[in-house]
Amino acid sequence: MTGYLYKEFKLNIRLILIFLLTYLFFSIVPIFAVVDAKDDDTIGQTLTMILGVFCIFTFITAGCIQSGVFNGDDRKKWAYFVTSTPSGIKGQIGAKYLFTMLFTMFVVTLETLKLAFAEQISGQSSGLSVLIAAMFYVQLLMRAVEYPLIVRFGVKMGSMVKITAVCVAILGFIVYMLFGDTSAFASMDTFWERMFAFVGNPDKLKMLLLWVGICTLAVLPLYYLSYRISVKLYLKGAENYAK
Amino acid sequence: MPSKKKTLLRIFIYLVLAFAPAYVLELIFSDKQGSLKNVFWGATLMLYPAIATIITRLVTKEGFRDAMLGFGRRGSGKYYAAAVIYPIVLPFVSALILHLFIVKNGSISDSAFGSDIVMGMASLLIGIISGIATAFHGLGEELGWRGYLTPKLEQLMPTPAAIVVTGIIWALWHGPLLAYGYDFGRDYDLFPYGGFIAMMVMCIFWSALLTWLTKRTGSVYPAALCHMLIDTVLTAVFMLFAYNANGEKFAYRTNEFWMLILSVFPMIIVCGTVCMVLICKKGKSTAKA
Repeated sequence: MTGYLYKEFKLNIRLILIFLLTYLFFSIVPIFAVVDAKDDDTIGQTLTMILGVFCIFTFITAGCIQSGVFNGDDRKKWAYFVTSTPSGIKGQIGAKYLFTMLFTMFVVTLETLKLAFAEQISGQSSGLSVLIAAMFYVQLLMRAVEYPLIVRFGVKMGSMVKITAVCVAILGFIVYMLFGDTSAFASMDTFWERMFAFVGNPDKLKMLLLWVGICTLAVLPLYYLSYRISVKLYLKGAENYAK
Repeated sequence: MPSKKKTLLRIFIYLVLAFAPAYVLELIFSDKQGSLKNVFWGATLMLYPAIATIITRLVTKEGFRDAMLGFGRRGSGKYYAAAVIYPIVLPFVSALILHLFIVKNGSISDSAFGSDIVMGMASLLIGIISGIATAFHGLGEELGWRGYLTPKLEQLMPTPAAIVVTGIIWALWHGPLLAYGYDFGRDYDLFPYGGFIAMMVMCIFWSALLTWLTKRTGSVYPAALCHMLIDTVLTAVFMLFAYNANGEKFAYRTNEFWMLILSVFPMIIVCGTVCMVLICKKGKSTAKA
């Protein structure tokens, strides 16, 4: 599998380097700008906001690179060749899942270092490490949904199926908001009152924290399940690939 | 297999590259309390063994064929599970020993964890979540110690000896921090030598466990995962047992240094010994075959 991993790394090295250069420019430069421009009272809030926005932006960009790991591999000849190798389908698909996970972990490391750097030069902690961890699991969840579709239908068709699924979900949400039970949002005053009452109740907040933790951890078995599904679907998908 | 001289040279290059940046940063930015003043450089420390491995492999033209970067062999799942379960069980066993033999004024149900189990479980989950998300840092160390140094030492000596030597080198890598009270504080007799000895013991037995995981799977990822989870979960959860519900520390029958050793070390030593025995057994059966 090391060979497949090497292939992924070699094929994506340019994208990773471009990502790193863009990252350095768009993530590190604003920190200096904020620290130079603001006084001590407002620096913390402004820095947290900017770091938070760029953190999300970084993970979205990283997601685009991850989504591209199947580009060029949806060819019949390649699929049958891969099947005949000792590592087989598991090696080929596993390397892509592993590359995605390692790359996401690498982005987490970059973000952690960036936060540490910001803390060092501003003297204030941004407290964004929770956001970074959350983005890590969101990325894995999105790839866990996306990859089996790409494997089954090919890159183009898989992306279309994904976009269609997202559109259907948005449409479902709009239909629910138009015709469903929206009494919870009827009055925004009572909504916020209930929200603050919930946040003010330590027992409920602790239970929420516990459930958030459980749901977040559930992403990992889902990611593994997604890998197993992709392995199962690979040869079926290969029938639809171009020659 | 390369000659002994070549292997020694490779080990030397690796050690210089792994130790130099860590020691320079730990000495320049030391806060004299066992940590680093500079948050940024502190966050990079765990990455130097991996950087050293990559540079060494490139300089010596060894390549990455034996870097154990794949998922691992068939049936590695149970070892990945062990890599996650061990760091979760460790703080609970340590807490049990702590409250059975060391704490003077309270029981486990009076602790911050015992009195608020929901919050305690949430802290445990947060520890696991952040440990997995930041596992790249764990990979930073494991790619070097278990992925490079131990296999290289095994070319020069038997596996158990290689594990012990790796453990000692790994402990000494934390040297400048230990000299100021890293992990074990400063409030004990024979400071800082006691801290060095304790760190060596801990690293030798953890080295056995992590090497066992690496050898059984043929991958460094379980060791990296286990390492990072130990770092995040042990600290997050064990501390909840060391304090009572009001946030006050329990009174101990001994000082904090011995409290840590007596409560946390038994499981580390038992598991490390079991792993060492399993590695030796496997080595013998392979030699017979």
